[in-house]
Formats: sequence, C-alpha cells, structure tokens
Amino acid sequence: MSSGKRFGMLISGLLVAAALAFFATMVLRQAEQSRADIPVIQDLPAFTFVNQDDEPFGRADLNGKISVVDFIFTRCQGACPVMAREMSELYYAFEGSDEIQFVSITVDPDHDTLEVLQAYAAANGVSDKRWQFLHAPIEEVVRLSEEGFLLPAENLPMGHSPRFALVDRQGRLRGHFNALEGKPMIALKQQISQLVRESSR
Amino acid sequence: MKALIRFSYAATIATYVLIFTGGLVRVSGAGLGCPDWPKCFGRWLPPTSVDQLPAHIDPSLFNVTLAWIEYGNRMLGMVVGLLILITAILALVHVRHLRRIWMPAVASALLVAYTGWQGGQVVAAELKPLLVAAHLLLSFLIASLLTWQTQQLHYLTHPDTEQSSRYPKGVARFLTFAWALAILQSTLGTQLRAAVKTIQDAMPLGGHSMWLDAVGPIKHAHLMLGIILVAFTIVLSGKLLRSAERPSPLVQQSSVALLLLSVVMLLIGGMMAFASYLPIFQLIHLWGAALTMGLLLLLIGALRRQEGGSNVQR
Repeated sequence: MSSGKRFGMLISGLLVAAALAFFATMVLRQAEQSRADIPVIQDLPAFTFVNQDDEPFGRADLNGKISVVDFIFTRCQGACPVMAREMSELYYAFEGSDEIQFVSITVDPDHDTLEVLQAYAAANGVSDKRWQFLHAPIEEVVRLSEEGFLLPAENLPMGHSPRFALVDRQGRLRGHFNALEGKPMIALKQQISQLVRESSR
Repeated sequence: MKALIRFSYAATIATYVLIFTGGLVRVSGAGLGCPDWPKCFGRWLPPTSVDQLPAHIDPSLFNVTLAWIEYGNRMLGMVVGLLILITAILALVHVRHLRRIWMPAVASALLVAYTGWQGGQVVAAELKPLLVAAHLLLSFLIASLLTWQTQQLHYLTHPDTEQSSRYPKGVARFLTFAWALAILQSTLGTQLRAAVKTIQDAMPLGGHSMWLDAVGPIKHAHLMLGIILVAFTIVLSGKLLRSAERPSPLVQQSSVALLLLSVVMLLIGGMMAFASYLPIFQLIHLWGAALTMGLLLLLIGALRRQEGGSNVQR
C-alpha cells in the first residue's frame, strides 16, 4: 500500500472519530441542559405549622433548603409505609448534606398528636432535623396540600396523595413524584442532585 | 452472494455504531428516557409535550431530549436487527455448506433478537446494573460474531488474501490470548461500572474520589489487567508491523489501529481511574473496548488463515 493511501486512510479514520466525538458531545450537552431545565410550577403560600417537637415550622423554613414534602398519616396501612420507606432511603442517601430536608405532614392531626409523630419519626430512624413531621389543623393542611402543593386531599385521611413534592431553595414547587413507583423515585433523586448544583436563580 | 456480502458488511458496521449509540444512552443518563418498552410513553413516536402522556405514567419521568436519545437507540436497534436477520437468511440460502459462515450469522440473528428483548427488561428493571452489563456484553458478542463472519465472507471471494504474506510465528496464538483477556477485562469493566453505579445511587452527592474509595478491589483488578492488556497489544501489533513480510493491508491497518487504540484506552482509562468519570470518557472507553476486540479478531482471522497455509477450512 502506498504511503499516500495509508495517509488517506489515517485521515479518514481520524475524521470519522472526530465526527462521532462531536456528535456525542452535542448529545451529551443537550441531555445535560434538558436535565437542568426543571420547571418552576409555583411559589408556595405562607403557612405556620409545628413539628413533632412543638417547634414552629413555616414557609420561611423552606428558604435556603431543598425540600421533599409529602402528606401522610401514621395509622395508614396502604401507601404510607412505602412512602416512609422511600423517604427514609432519600434521608440516608443525602445524609451528607444539611441543604436537603424532608418534611412529612400529617393529614390525620386528631390521631397523630406530637407524641405519636415523635414515635413515628423514631420508628423511621430519624435522628436529626433533616426529616421533620408537621402537625396543623386539618383545614390548613388541606389548603396547603391543594393550593400550595397542588396535591388532591379529599376523603382524608385515606385520600392523601402518594406523591412527593420537590421544593427548591426559594420555596417554589418544582415537581411531583409518585412514591409508589421506582422510576419516579430515580428521577426525584436526580432532580434533587440537580437542584443542589443549581445556583440560586 | 454479492447481496450477502453487502448485508454482512452493513450489519457489522451498523452494530458497532449501535454499540456507540447504546453507550451514549448509558452515559447521557437517558436509559429511562422512555419508561415503557417497546413504546415510548405509550406511543410509537415519543411525545413532544407532557399533555400527551398516558394517565398511568408519572409525568415526572418526561424529558423529551432523553426520550429521543433512548428511542433513537431503539430505532437503530430495529434497523440493525433487520440487517442481521436478512444477512442470516441470505447466508442460509447461499452458503449453507459453509458452517463457519452461516453459524455465526444465525447465532447473531438469534442473539440480536434476544438482546433487543433484554433491553426492554433493562428498562423494566430500572437499569439494574447487572442487566445493563449483560446488555453490553451481549452486544460485544454479536459484534464479534459479525466481524468474524464478514471477514470469512471476504476471504471466500478473495481466496488469495494473506497467501503471500508471512507473519512472525506464534503471534496468532498470543492474539487469541489477548482476545480472551479482553473479554475478561470487559466483564470486569462492566462489574466495576455496576459497583460504581450502586455506590452513586447510595451517595448521589459524593464525588469521583468518594465513589471510587467505596468500590472494592475490582477497581485494582480492572486497572492492572488493563495495563497488562494494553502492553500486550502494543507489543503484538508492534511485532506485526516490524516483522511481517508483505503483510496484507488489513493486517497492516488493523495493527496500526490497534496500536493507536491501545494508547487511547490507556490514557482514557487512566483519566477515569484517577480524575473523572466524564461521560465522554466513559463512552470512548466503552466503544474503544468493542473496537479493540473487533481488531483483535480481524488479526486473529487473518493470521490463522496464513498460518494454516493454503488450507481453506470448510
């Protein structure tokens, strides 16, 4: 084979490699951008509840942190055990960061007294403020669920939503994730990590 | 016969492209871009807006870019599957007397159908690391079968190839050994990747060094074997380039390509071991592995033909 032909082969090989690398880089960039593009759904309204230790927890406590919020009740045998398991998996996965908090709000405040919530927290292995359990009169809980988090709250306590809500550092609702399915939980984990990287917009 | 050769070439090249796009799905994190299978969000073409999603699929899963990356790989997979199927049928029609050609053709057709279905299982199992690993290794196996078969077809129509070439003794055996090492190394690589993925899921906010610290001894095994394999292929291809008499263009070019690729694999592998899992590194690493195995096979096929003298096995 002549050296000219060999040179041609080398050049065309390198060109193909360069074209593939360019294509891959473009696709990777698009994928990265699409992942960073998490829609802002709405601002959360003001509220003031208390946590299981009878300390106030309100809208201001969402600021500066990425929050995952759900509505549960401790007597529930249906969705809640799964939701608690998924939430505790996130609680452990992100234990290295104080920037991420988990908030479970009871939809059964008459039964779920602060003592009951404390016991529930302990039963789920909660040992710090990163996962809090909130208590408030039922009308306020319903209003926050429906108007703030856009999660249906009818026929309570059974009728609470099995979805987790993702809230950003500005207290804005960013998404809903069905806790009863595996794939949305994978997506939630990715979006939490994404929000950690997102500079305050 | 001409059609068979053309389809065989097309199927082989398309399979390597498919391994590239499959790797792209993996490293861009688009594996769950379509949460269902074979359709994408219940449609034969991915939806363009969230309003088109069926009620039973959680809207949080919708990302149109990732959906198209995943679906593109599936569509190319369909094309490749058809190309391989047609090749197998043509092989059965034209070369039924040549087992060394129709067997890999039929095997690759069966395997590609299985791999396509298995890709659906990967999605259903939420990208369980071991299933992803199996998907990749199956694709390597198919690419190897097709490479072998296409080369044999080429020799069928060019019987004089390699007959006047003289290669240093024993290299074919060492190349076969290198190929076996490459299979072992790829398997180790998929296991290392699976281990890293499991750790990344458990510590999503960790970084490269934190994840790698948590991975067991498999990372040392993969790195050591990688260095050995690269050294081995560099020595072998160097020997072929220096000592071969009247080497065929295929052997010459494959040796050069193997030499260059080995250096690239060493550099990229080193970057991944010590610096970063940048997606593009992962992709080059994965595709480089597929190409390395293909080049080793081409060289083995060529040298065996020459070493066996004029015996054209039936």
